[in-house]
Amino acid sequence: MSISRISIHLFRSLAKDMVKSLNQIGIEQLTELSGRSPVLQESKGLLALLSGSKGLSDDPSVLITFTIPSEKENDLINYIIEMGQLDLPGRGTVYAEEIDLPMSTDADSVNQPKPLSSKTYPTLKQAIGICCIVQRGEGNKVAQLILESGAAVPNITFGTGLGVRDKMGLLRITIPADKELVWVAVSHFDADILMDAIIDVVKLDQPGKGFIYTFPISQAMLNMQVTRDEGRSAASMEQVVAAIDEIKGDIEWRRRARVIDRQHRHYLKGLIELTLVCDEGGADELIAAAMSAGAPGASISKMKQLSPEAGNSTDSISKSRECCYLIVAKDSLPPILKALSEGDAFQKKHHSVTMSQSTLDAFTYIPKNQ
Amino acid sequence: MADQASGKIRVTPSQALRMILPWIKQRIMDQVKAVWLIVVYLVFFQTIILGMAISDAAMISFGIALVIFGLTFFMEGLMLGLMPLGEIVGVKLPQKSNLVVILLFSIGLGFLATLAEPAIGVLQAAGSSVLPWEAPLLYHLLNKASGVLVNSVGLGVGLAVMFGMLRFIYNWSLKPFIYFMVGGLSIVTFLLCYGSDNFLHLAGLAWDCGAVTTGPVTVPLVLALGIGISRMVGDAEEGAAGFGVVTLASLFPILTVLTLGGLYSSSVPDPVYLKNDKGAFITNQHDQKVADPIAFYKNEKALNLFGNDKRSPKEDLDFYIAKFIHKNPSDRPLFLGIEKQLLAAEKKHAQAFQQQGEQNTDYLKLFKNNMTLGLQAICLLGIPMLLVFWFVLREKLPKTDETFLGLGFAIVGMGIFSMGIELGLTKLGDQIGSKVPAAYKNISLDKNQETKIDPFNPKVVQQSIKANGEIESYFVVHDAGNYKTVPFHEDHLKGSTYSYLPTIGPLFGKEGGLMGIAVILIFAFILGYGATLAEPALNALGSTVEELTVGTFKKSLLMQSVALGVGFGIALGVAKIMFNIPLIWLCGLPYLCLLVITKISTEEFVNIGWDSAGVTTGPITVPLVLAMGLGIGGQVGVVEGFGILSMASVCPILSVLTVGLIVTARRNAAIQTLPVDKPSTPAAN
Repeated sequence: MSISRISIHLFRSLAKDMVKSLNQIGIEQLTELSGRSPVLQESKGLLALLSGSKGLSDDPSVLITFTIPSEKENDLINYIIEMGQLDLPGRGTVYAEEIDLPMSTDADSVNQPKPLSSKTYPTLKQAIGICCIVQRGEGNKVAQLILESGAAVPNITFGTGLGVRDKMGLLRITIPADKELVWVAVSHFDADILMDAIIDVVKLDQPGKGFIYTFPISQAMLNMQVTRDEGRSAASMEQVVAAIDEIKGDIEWRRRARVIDRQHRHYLKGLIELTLVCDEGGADELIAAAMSAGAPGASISKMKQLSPEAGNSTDSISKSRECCYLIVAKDSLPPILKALSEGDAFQKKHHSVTMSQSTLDAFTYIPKNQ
Repeated sequence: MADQASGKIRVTPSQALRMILPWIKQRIMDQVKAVWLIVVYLVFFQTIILGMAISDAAMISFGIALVIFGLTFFMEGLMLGLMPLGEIVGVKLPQKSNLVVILLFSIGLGFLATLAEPAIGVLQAAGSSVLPWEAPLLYHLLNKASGVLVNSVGLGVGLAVMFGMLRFIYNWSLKPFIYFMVGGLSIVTFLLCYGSDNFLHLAGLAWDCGAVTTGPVTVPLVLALGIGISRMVGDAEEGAAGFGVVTLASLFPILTVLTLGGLYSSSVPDPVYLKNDKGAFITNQHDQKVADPIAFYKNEKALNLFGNDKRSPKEDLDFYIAKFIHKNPSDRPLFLGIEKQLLAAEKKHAQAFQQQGEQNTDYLKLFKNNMTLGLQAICLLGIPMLLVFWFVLREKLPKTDETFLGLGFAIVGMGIFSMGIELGLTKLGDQIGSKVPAAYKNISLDKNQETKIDPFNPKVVQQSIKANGEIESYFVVHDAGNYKTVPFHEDHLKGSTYSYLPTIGPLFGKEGGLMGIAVILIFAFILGYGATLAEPALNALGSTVEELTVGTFKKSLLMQSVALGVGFGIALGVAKIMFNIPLIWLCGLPYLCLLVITKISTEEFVNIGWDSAGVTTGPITVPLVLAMGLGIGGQVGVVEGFGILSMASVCPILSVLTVGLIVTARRNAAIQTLPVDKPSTPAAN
């Protein structure tokens, strides 16, 4: 059975209704992660003066994720678009990725939604997800670039990095561990050019700047409202685009005639994105085990488990979870999983869940002598 | 480079140095950025605007350098040690223990927080000029009963932390607490003030002490604990769960202190006021009734206020009055009727008065005192946390080395920083505070700037007449190109030497002119604004807010709105002192506005806004503001520093909530511009 992971990036104030709608169709194993969703906006007045923000307005957003059997993916995406009115620009993004559950446990709990019959929306098939991990404070640079390219609205979450830093003893405190993770789903004809531009703008080819990778998305509905400046026309550009999408029934027409002239960079191919979700407090230990088995490092974010059985006793899944993203070589996946299970990752102590999927391209600074 | 066997990376000393130096530089620059505004501003004001040199400049610069170094260590200590510790205890507590343990732990923590950061010193400073016959109850609580006062504030903070945690566990809104506590306590305070003159004076103390107790160690720790607990148990929808405890910690002590006042009110005398022949109250230049010290002296209950290990109550009372007259010789006529007792006391304690006034800065002692202060603050809070973590929760600390390094940093930082404040900022503040009124009125300078004319020729003395026919003598001095008139007093002439204190001001416009008053209000505003930006607790709160809201509520936005609010508040507070506006007007109106604006704000902003009020009154703001308040108060003859602090707490809430309303409105507009015709029923079912 193939499994799909659904990710919904939503305006925070819409999240409550969305979770309710999902619960109604039997999707109860959900996780929620706080984030922000920047859009282009000329700030004016008192607020701009006080915050000193430059051209971006940050709105609170939420990332809701859950897993379902892949055959339900299409219906479910349409249901989510309908419930959240995501076909209207500016409300949120939803996308689905096919993943593996390499260590099947009880905690995996793939949701089994009730059968659905709903409207069909024109969605983007075969999209590309980009995840860019940068130092805290650099996220908006990446966001601004993505927004100005008009590709889609990105979302940013916070995380802390574990890696080389933690092998240095107390000297580690001199290296900032706080990271920002910029997520965006784009059409495949935007992906390569955007990735290159991001690498340039945050100088990922220099040491210690961060990491970027792309992953395949099977289906997506993007939030295209990249700007909040008031339009002077009857319909905003985003509305026009959405209307043409609906007429064409597809968004392939948006393909731009860009000459893709990729720079000669050494992209890392065939890596695996391993997502490890465990109870809060366990990540340090588990990632240390994974690193001793060959993982280079991880980014950890705190998330909320919304499952009904989640509680705060020692036996149950904790309400407060940690989500670790590891990018590992294909060969080292089995030893890492072994190390994780030897570290009691999948026992009551941590209630871990792992998900893995192949990445397309990845890029970071690689020292010359290696 | 990597040592695969041990999994550790070996770093050579030079590599280590290359990592540490930029890191230290960055941290120090962060604090320089926080502190520069207030320091540069104070120096600028004193030297350029008031045109006076800074005395002890070297010492003050050294003190300011210490403040910066201390803050660097302290903030790093907070981020590495105290806050992660608080958060992990908060996360584990609900998992490994039950509700009773959590609540007991919370009360204990709140209580210890009050002991760890003794705000009583600040309150005593604010009330240093309170006279026992004017406000017997207030005097009693600040002096002989100060231990009980601290304990009652501690109980209040303890209850606050407890209710704060209950709020997170049961997901209660903060708003009802605010309505009930602020509304209820205002009414109670008003009724008490109406009923008794004693409470009129106590009210200021009660409303100030909550805000003052929550210091730079307590706030981050309690915040972190709350964030941990609410993440584990809370179902809050809001992005910033974990706030609100600081607010409660500012409100509950009002309740406990007023209760304490009620308990003591029967054992202290009521203030009695002097009347003239016609039976009307005698008032001073600010229309305040003048208290009758003789009635106080003769009241048996007065003895309850005095007495210590060395002296019996009666002896101590005599000593106090003798000392008072020694300091204020012009008030001697007030004590007609008890001169005999007075003379005896003056004779007996003559030596004690002489010894005062000689103060030498003993650096070693200063260092020791402040380090003890730091040690006490961090250990009283840190050690119980560690003990609970190890022995009640039986957990292993995830990063033991980092936590202990952090705690060590915090202790060292706190010590250096409070020493720096004592040596640098407070001194600078005192110097300016006493001179600021020169902007709008004529004041005489310090004793050490006494000018001597030798030989003095009495021929230069001239006479002038006032509108009421009173004759006054004066002479004109030629000093550096300026001709200044100086009033002539015969007793200042000794032999051929005439000594006088040069006066200064009004520097702007006429005596009591609008221009000068405007300069003072602007000074107060910028002082509050700059000092707030340097407050460590607010910096910690700002970082936490930014972290929890994933950057949607920027630290800079919070700091700027709070600083603006504090600036306005302090300007209003100074206006209160200069024009002697009753506190009830200045506080009542903003609090009324606050209740309305709280009602229409989102829970997230209500929590953050009200909390930021509690953290504004910290170790940098308070000494500067008090120095200025007492300086201005001393020059115009009003004697309490209490009002300013409460104004500095109210106004930032207003400013943060207003900013919150704007932000929320914009966010809602972003969604509401879209046609919302949500399907009424979900497709399934």
